Amino acid sequence: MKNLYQQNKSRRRLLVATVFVIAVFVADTLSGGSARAFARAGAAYMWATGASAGETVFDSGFFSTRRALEKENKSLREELTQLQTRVAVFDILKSENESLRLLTRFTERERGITAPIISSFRSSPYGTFLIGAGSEDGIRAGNLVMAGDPQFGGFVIGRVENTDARISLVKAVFAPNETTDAVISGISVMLLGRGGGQARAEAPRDAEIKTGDAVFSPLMGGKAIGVVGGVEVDKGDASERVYVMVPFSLTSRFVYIIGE
Amino acid sequence: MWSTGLTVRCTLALTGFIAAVFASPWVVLIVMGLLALRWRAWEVLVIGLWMDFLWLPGAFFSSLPLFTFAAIALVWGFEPLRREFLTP
Repeated sequence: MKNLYQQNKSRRRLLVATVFVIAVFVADTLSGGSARAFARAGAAYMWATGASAGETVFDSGFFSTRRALEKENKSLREELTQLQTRVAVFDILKSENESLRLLTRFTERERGITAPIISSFRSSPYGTFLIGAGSEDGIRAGNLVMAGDPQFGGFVIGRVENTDARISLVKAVFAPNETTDAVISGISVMLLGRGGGQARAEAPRDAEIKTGDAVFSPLMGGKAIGVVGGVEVDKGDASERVYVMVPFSLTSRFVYIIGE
Repeated sequence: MWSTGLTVRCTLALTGFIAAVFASPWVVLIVMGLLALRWRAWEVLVIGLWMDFLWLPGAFFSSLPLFTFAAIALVWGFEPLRREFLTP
């Protein structure tokens, strides 16, 4: 009797939770995404806290000290730890500085703003990530997000989808199953995103497409969105398979946002 | 009152929430599956909603909120199995 009562109680709780989730959905849609903004602000805070905790742990030299215990005496170990800490801090500053210096070159060509990336690239099932700039900074939905080496014009890696006051959600150009019109060596193709900065396309077999060719998209203001990473032709096929990738690791700390 | 089962459930739920921000979506999906398989876990719905609130682009229903749908499917889809074998 008691078990039956408990089962009914937990089923009722589940039903209430389901109705609650649907109600939150509706409320969020009606309020223009205020619940989403709240959730993203929370996630950004969690990400910042996690990143800061990670840096503190690794910069403390704890792990390197453990490794050094096997080989060196105490005084050398302490010295090593100190030096490693300094090097780690220097590397972080250097990478941050380099990243920002590269982005300043964009500003010479395009009007826009620089924003930090405040989430992981791999956590989203929809190929999205968060940046630390929003409507208060002049970011609008549809703005293009660029990264890479500005010497070569940089690459569009995404488009702003949602903006909150200080945070925006960006959808990657090569988000999984996302299609994008593109032009490679004068040939129009349809790219199918595969996530992780990679995409695939089918082109006519006789198309002169080779590894390293730049890929442009008219939907992204005619800017480059990647390069050809490889071309594959199967015997008897009328088309060739073109693999496109972003020619740098998507681990930059900053991106540059421009109007379309 | 506080059992091992409850500890495991809380740990899995917390893992799901944190993994939504830091880990691959597969981790979140596996955690949701484990929770829904063993318990009538309302937190699976909240994790699904949290995931979509964080990462779903555009206005709602301009793209499908897959994780919320998956959460509803998991908690109600596993109900017959739970009722038959797992729930005391």
